[in-house]
Amino acid sequence: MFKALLKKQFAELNASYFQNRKTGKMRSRKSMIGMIVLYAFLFLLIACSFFAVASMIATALVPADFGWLFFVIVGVLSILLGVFGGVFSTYTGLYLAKDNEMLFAMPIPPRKILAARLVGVYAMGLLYEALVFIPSCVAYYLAGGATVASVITSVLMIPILGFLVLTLTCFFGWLVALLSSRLKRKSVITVILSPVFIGVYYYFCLNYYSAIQNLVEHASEVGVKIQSGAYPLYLMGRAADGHIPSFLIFTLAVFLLAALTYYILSKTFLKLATRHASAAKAVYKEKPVKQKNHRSALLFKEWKRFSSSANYMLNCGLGAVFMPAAGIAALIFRGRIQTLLDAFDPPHGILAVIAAAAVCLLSSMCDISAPSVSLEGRNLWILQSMPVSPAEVLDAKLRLHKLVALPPTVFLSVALAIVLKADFESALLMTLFPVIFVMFSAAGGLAVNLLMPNVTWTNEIAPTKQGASATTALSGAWLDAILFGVGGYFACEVIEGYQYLLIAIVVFSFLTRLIQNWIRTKGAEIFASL
Amino acid sequence: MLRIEHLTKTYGDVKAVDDLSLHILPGEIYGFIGHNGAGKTTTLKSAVGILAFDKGDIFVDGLSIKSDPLACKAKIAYIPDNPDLYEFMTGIAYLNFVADIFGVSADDRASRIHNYAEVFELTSDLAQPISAYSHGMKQKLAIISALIHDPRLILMDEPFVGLDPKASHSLKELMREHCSRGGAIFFSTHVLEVAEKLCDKVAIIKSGRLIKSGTMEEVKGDASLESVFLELED
Repeated sequence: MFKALLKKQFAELNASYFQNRKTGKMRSRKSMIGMIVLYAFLFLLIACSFFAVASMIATALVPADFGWLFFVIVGVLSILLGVFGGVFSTYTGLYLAKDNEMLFAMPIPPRKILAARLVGVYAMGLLYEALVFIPSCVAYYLAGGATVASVITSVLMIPILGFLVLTLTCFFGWLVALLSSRLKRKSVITVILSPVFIGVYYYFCLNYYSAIQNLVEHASEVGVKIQSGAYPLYLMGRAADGHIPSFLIFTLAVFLLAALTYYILSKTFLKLATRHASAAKAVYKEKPVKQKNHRSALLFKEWKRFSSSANYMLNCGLGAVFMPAAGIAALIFRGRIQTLLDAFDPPHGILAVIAAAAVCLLSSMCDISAPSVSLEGRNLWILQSMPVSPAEVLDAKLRLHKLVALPPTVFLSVALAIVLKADFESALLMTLFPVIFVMFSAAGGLAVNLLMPNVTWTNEIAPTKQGASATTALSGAWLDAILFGVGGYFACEVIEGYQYLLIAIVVFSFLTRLIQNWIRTKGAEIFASL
Repeated sequence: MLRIEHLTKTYGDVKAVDDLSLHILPGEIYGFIGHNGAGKTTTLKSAVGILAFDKGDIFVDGLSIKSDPLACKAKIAYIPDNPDLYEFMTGIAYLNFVADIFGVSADDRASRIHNYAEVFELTSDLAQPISAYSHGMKQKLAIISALIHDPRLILMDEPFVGLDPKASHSLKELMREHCSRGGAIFFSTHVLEVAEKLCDKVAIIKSGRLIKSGTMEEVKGDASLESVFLELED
C-alpha cells in the first residue's frame, strides 16, 4: 500500500518533468537530456557559489582546529535553505493536495498517506540542504580537515540533516495549516506570513556574508558561546567533524525529533486536511458594478489568480519584493558603494552594464508568466468556451507579468543610476535594457509554458515550483542575465558601455518581438488545443 | 440554430464521434443520450469550440465554429459535466467576470444576477469564495453564469447532476422558458425520465455513431424512452 502511494507520488513528480501531459507519452530523448543538462548546470552553479563561501570559511577555521565551528556555520546555512525551500510547498503538498479527499476515502490509514507525502518533502529539503552541505564538505576536505572519521560522519550528516530540515519544515507547515484551518479567507495567511518569510529571508541574504565574516574573525569567543549557549549546534558541528559519540547522540536526537514530528502530524493530519473554516460567512450586498472591457476582465482574472496564491507569489513573484528592497538599500548605502567602486576603479562605462545585469538577475525572479498556462488546470474550459481569442488570453498573462515586474525593475534601475551617478544617456539605457529584459523574460516564460504545459496537476506546487516550465524559464532568464553581464565585461574593452547597452537593447527587443509573434500565432494555437 | 454536419473526431486510433449529423432548431430542447464514452461530451465540446475535430463542420446560427469561433461562442453558453470554476474568486466576482467577457451591461447583469440567484437560492452565498461552495452550489453558479449573457444556444453536459430537486425543477422551467423565447438547448443526460418529459427531440448515440434521432414520438413511439434506449444499445 505504502509502495503504491510512493509510486503515485513519484510518478506525479516524474510526469511533471518528463511527460507530455496532453498525449500522456514521455518527452523525446533529446528534450529529456536537455532538461537534465539544464538542471545539472543550475545545481552546479548554485553549488559553486556555496563552495566559494565555504572555502573562505574553511581556510580560516579548519587549520585553527575549529572544524566543528565550520560545520555549525554551513550546517545552519544548509538547514535554513532547506527549510525556506520547502516550507510553503509542505503546507500545500501535505494539506492542500487535490487528491487528499480521494485517498482518505480509500481504505488507507491517513498516516500512510502522510508518510508517502513526507518522503516527497524530505527529498525536496534534502536537495536544497545538500546544495550547501556537499560543496561545504569538499571545501572542508580541501582545507585539510579530511580524516577517515570526519569523511564518514560528514557524508552521513547529509541525509541526517535532511531529517532535521524535514522536522523544521513540517513544524512550520503544520503551523500554517493550523492557522489556515481557523481562517475563512486563506489569503490572510498569504498576507501575514509571506512578508514575514520574505523579510526573514531577505534579512538573511543581506547579512549572512558579514555575519559569517564576523564569526570567522571571532572564532574563539563565538566557539565558547556556542558550546555554552547552543549545545545542540555544538553537537552538530562536532558530529560532522568526525567526533563519533557526538555523531551518535546527534543522529539519535534528530531521529527522535523526526519520529515525534511524524507522530504529532499523523494525529492531526486527517483533521487539518479536511477541516473547513468556521469563520463568519461573508454577506453579499447588491451594489452597482462598472462594466469592464474584456481586456481588463482578463487582466483582473490573472491578478486574482496570482494574488490569491501564496505559492504562486512566493515562487514566481519574489523579485518584485527584492528589487525595491535592493533599490532602497542601494540608496541608503550609496556612500559605501561609492567608496568600494573608487577602490576598484572599474573601466569607464562598465558599471552601467553590470548594474543593468544585476537588475535583470533580480527581475528574473519574477517568472509569473512561466506557470500561468499550466495554472489554468481544470478551469481551462472556461476561457476556451468564451468569446475571447487565445491570443488575448495569453496577452493578459504577459500584461500581468509586466505589471508586477516592471515598476520595481524601473525603481531599482533608477536607484542604481543615482547611486552610480550615471550620466543621462547611461541612466536611460541602463533603465531601458532591464525593461526590455522583463518583456523578454515574460514572453520567454510564457512560450516555454506553452511548449511544456501541465494542466493536470493535483498540487499547485507542480506548475509553480517543481514544473519543468517554471524551472526552465527561471534558469534561462538567469543564464541570459549572466551572459549579458559577462559579455558586457569583455565587450567594454573594445566599445563603450552605452554602445553595448544599445546593441543589447536592439537584440533583446528583436528577440522579444519574435517570441511575442510566436505566442500570438503558434502559441495561441497550442493554447486552443490544450 | 445548431447544425452539426458529418462530425468526426478521433483520439489516436479510436473514433470518438463518427460522421454525426444533427440539426437543432430555434425553440427546441434537444436531448442527447448514450452510454458512458459514447461520444456525447466530445460532440458537445466540439460544438462549443473547445475541441478541434477531424472532419465535418458545426454551424451556430449559420456561422461555422471552425472559421468564426468567437462569433459562435458569443451566442453560446456551455455548462460542462463538472463545474470546475475559478476557486480563487467569489461567486459574484466570477459572475461579473463572465459578464465582462460577454459584454453584458451593468444594468442587465445586475437584474439577471438578482433574478437567477434568487431562483437558485444562491444570493446569500455570492460573496463567498467559490472554493467554499459545495458541488451543487458550483453547478448552480455555472448555470447562472451560462444564462447571464442571454445566449441563443445553451449546451449542457449532464446539467442536473448535483442539483437539489428544487433547483432541478427551476432549471427545467428556465429551459422551457428559454426555448419559448426562441432559444435552443442541446443537452446530454443519463436521466431518461427527464429527457422524455422535457425534450422536444432526442438523439441516441452509440460508440460515436448516431443510431436514432427525431421527435420524442418518432424515437420512442408508444414505448418508454428507457426501453427504446436499452433495446437500441443492445
